[in-house]
Order: sequence, then C-alpha cells, then structure tokens
Amino acid sequence: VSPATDAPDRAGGPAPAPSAAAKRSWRSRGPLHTLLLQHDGVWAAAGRDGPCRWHANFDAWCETMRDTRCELLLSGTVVHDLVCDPGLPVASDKQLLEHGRAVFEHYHGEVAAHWQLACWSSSSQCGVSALHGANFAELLATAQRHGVLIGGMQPWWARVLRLVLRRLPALRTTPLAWLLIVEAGFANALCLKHGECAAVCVVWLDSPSPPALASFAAQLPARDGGAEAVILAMGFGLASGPVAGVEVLGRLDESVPSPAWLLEREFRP
Amino acid sequence: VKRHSRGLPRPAWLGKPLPAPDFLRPRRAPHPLSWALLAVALAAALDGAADAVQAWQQRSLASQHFLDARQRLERAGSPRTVTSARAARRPRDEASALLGHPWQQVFLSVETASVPEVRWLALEHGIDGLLRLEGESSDAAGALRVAQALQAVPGWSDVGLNRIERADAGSDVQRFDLKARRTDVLSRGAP
Repeated sequence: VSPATDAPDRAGGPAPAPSAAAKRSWRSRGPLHTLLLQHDGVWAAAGRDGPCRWHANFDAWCETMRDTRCELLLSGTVVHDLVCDPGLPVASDKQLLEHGRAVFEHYHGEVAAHWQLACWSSSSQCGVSALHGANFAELLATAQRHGVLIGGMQPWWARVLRLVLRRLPALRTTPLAWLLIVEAGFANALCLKHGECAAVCVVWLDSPSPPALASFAAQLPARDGGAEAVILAMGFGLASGPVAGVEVLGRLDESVPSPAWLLEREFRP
Repeated sequence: VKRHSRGLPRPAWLGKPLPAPDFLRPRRAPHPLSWALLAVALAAALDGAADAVQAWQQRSLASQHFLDARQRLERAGSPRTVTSARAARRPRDEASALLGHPWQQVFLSVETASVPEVRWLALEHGIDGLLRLEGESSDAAGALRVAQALQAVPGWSDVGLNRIERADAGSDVQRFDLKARRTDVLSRGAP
C-alpha cells in the first residue's frame, strides 16, 4: 500500500512501518478481493458467480483473509462528494483539494479537517470526494496489521458509473440522465449530462421500498432544456416491486449487492 | 475560466476520462501518455549520451594522432621547420611587392592609350605584370586604336584584343577585353 501523502497531514499520525508480510509482492497474494465498505459493515465479493458476504467491519474481513490483497469500494454512506463548477479557477490538484477541504469544513465543521480527500476530473467537470464514514488511517493500519495490501480506495459510484457507461454507451450522448445507486434505504443520485457527472446527490429514503424510490425519482429534475431525463437505478436491498418512472438495471430486490456491480474486470453485460 | 489540465490533450482513442477518485492517491493519475513521453525522453537522453561518449572518444583519438604527428615532425628535424618559416614569410613578401609596384605608371599608360570614344569598365593588374582591361567603344576601330596605342607605350608588350563584341542587340557599341604585359616585370622575373 502506498499511503496517501497529500491530505493525511491532518488525518492522523504516520503509518506504521510495513511488516515483512506487507513487503511481499502484490501479485503473489492471490486474487484481488473487492470489498464494498458501508457505514455499518463490509460486503466482500467472492468472484463473479458467488454471492457477496457480509462482515461486521473491515477488521473482521482482514482477520479471515490475512496476507491477501483487496480494493475498497466506498459506499455513499461513508463518502461526501463535491462536484465543482466547471469554471472553478484552480490550477492544480493541490488547489482543488484545498478548495474541497474549505467547502467541506464550511458545511460540516472542524471534523472535516481530518477527512481523507481525493479529487477527480472528467472532460469538463471536476470534483472532490471526502471519506467521512471511516477513519482512513485506521483502515490502513488495520490492513497492515493483517498483512493485507490495499490497491485502491474509491467511491462505489465511480465504479458503477464506469460499468454503466460500458453497458449503455448511449448515455454518453444523452442530454440528461439520473443514475440511482440504491443501498436499501440509502441512494446516491448521479446527474449525468452527456455522460459527464454533473452532480452527486445523496438521499435516505423513507423506506427501502419501490414507492419511496419512485417518490424520490419523481422529485428529480426531469428536463434539461427540451430533452427529457432518463432515470436509471441499480443496487440492492429494496423491497420487490416495480419502480414507477425508473428503468432498473438488474434487480433491486436482492438482499446483497451483485458482484457484477463491484468487479471491474469480470463484469460482462 | 478553464479548468486546469495536465498540459497534454487526451488522445481521442482513449475515450473521455471518467471520474476516478482514489483516497490512496488523492491527486489524479498522470496523463495516459506520460509514460510514453518519459520513455521517449529517456531514449533521447540515452542517444545523446551515446553521441557524447562517441565524440569524446573521437576527440581523444584525434588528440593522440596530433601528438603522434608532432613527435614525428620533431624526429624529422629542422628542414620542415625552415619550409614552414618560408611559408610564413610568403604573405609578407607579397605585400612588400604590392607596395613597391609602379601603379602610377600603369594608370598613366592606360590614360595615355585611351581615345575619346572608349569608356573603361574594368581594370585588373597584379604584381605578375599582367594587365586586363575591359571597356566599351562606339565602334570596333576605337578598340583597335587603344590596343595599338598601348603597344606603343614603353614598358608594355604582348598587347592584344581577346574579345570584341556588340554590347547590346541593335546597338553599335562594342565591348572588348584587352590584355597586355609589363616588360619590366618580365625582365625582373626572368632567371
């Protein structure tokens, strides 16, 4: 693991020295495990065909998977996102992170000073993600304690967006689309304009039910100019039933996340 | 205000970039062509270094050859040194001869031989005694009169018209070349 060096100056003390096990090469550790980290536990994908398994926390998973390697996908329940105005005058990633830090501190207070940040950009947009629901330094220390290497730590929505655009290339030319990433009673809503992520919203549904999701979807802006918005949804944990006004990708009523929405390389539409 | 970029445009064949925030690497990944550019830069640097090494070796070799040649010269003795001294003295002798040349007599001779219908265009003369004159005359007879007049001036011999031709189509003006040799230079240079 190559610990982040940009923001952690305010995220805790220095990481402990790597153990002998941690020095083992990346590829010698077997298959890459993909985990979905939520605020109350961890989903671990066991290949494309097997169902995801639930663990109480990251430490519990590491305990059973010593000396392996993994990538962490971060649920919307542990990440805040800021999508910046396209005209934001920032000259470097450092300035973008500083801007994001200032905005998060403005809205969330002093606690945001310790959040781990990561910035991103696409053709015309940029943004900053903040890890608020888990302690970044503790995650690294936990992995190191169990000899686990972490190869990546990104928001789940970024992975889902990549997979959806691969599956539905027409979205790249759709004027306005909403992509709802459902995690039972929680949802991320990505606003896509011509395939570009223009906003990331979060919502706690009244209940993990199709009507609640449909009600939320009905509140989303349905038009951009003359074009009507396309609303897509994927995820898990919702009660059975049709969701009015929403095109569902896969199934929403599974109790566990589908590995197809977690694994980058093994996804086949 | 345009958002910042990494300086290089993204190749179209790579598709549009998608958001990829990573908390392990808070700053974005390098440009997709960064590694390719780095490889090209390294290759260029290596090529330059190889050229530099080769040039240094050639310089060393040339330096060694120079030292060998000088040693051979030293072993050969003084005659070459005398020859070199003569060669060094040659430009100085030529300059002295030029200063001592009877330029006034040369110009006076040309002026004496001139006739009114001739206009001079060029004059070449050196310490070897050869004179070349280029001029224009209103008719061919004028050029011949100049040649005869110069032949009659003491100190000149071998006077002759090398070329005479019409200057322009439709014009009577004749252009000619005239050559002559100073007899005193001949006698002085004779063994």
